[in-house]
Amino acid sequence: MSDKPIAADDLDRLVRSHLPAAVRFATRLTGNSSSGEELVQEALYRVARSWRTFRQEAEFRTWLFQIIINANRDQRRRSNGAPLDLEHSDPKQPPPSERMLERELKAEIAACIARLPDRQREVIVLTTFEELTIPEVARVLNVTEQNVHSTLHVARKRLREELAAYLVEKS
Amino acid sequence: MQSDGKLPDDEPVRMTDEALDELLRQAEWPEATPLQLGRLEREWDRLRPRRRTWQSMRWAAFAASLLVGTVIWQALPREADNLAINPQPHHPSVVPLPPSSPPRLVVEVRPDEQPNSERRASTSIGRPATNLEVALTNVAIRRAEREQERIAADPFERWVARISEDDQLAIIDFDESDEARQELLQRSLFELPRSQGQRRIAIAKLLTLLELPEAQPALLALWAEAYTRDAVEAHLVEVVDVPTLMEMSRARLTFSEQVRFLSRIAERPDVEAQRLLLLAAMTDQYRRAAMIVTRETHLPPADMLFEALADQNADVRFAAALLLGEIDDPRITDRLIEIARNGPRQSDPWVALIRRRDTASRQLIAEARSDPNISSTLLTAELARQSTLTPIQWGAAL
Repeated sequence: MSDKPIAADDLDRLVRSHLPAAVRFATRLTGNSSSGEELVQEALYRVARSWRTFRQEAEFRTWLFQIIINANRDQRRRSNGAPLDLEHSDPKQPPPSERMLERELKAEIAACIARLPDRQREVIVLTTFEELTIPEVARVLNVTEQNVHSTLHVARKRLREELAAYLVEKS
Repeated sequence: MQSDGKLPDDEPVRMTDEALDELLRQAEWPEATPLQLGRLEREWDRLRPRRRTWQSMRWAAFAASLLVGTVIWQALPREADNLAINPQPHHPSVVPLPPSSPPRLVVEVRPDEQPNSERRASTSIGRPATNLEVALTNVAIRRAEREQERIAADPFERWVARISEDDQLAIIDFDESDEARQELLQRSLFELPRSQGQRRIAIAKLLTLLELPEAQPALLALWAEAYTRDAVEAHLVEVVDVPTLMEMSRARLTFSEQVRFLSRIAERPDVEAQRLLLLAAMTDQYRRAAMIVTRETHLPPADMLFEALADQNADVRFAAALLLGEIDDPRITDRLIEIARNGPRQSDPWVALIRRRDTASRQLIAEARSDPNISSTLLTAELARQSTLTPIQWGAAL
């Protein structure tokens, strides 16, 4: 790991290139795009404040996600863990009728993820959607790998239960 | 992605982690709009750390050179005024470059954003359905199940559904406590402006089942709507006070509406409401409807009408006689004959008797025509009755 602090220009380049991914990640954590935008805004403020602590350019995404997760936890703490206000995606054109069921299913899966407890949702989003490895997730969340394994197991079990009604063949 | 330790026995549905992840990746969230990204980029422009430039350092350099000069000047002996001091201007050793232009946004292409056309293309009826395909077939069923669960958990929705299914649901079937009725009332008043169609009718009927006076303003508003009038009218006619009933009766414009409304009034047990029937018979607009209702109702207000027959107001007496003439009951005939014989100069009982078709009435009228003391009264009654007929009825009478 390099101990040299990152240059300001390099940080600027990294932040701008990771901005869409950061908004997408924040939207998945918060359930809606406006809360996601607020969360990224808060994260950018924290990045600008503590960028000198960042060392290794290769792990910028992990570092940024860590900041986003911490900012999200602070916001969730302030809202006393209120249920997420889930926003359904709003395509520019109405979907054809044959895609209605597919869209409803996708929205329902998103709702199931939004109903997970905060830590389980973080693990699922990081592993399944951001495709981070278990060690990377452990670093982002500042927990042990074993902890990530067990949280992931519980989250998947719960999601299987929630989605079970969709996966049993019915007449 | 790394897979975790699995405990397949306690899983409700047998599905590998990979299959579950594949299903989960179908989840859809709203994408960030260019507007949002633009706002965040501007925010980052404001916050981002910048490389120090000569513009930002020149005041520091000026202060430093001033300080150095002051120190040197202080350190030199006063006699050495002729000592040459070379006040070199302090320039930065390296002129910093202007900040590089920000790189353009690079939109990441993520695996979970790949169009799933490949997966669809491989779909065929010859292979087992994937989890996604099975799930898709269950979306509509699951939606219906969720709706059922929602209705079962909500007393208001439960009653609305029950009323929608059973049109004949009566107050006797409504077995909620007073507290529950109040809650249902509040919920109904909340939902009413947000509902339409059959649901609105069901909520209107629910309000009638609550039997709460607080529901009456809302019920009157529903009665004013043509779509929900039928759902609430029967209940309202039973519970509203007479002035409100009169107000409601004025809104009945067509003949069939008048008949239906007056029939409901006639069924009310209180005399005050029954007198509205009499009032209707006194007006040209409602007279015919009042006569038909009096003829067809199962419980005609006979006592009230006989009482009105002795009223001081001639119009009231005449209206009562018209209505009594419509009631097909031999006991009414007997009482009318008795009144007519006791006061042969009074024309009102004769108005009622002329209208009646039974043998006793016919016989008495035949006798009266040949009696010179009564024939003039009978003629007056006949003329008065004819004055109430419409041109069509005139034609039929002739």
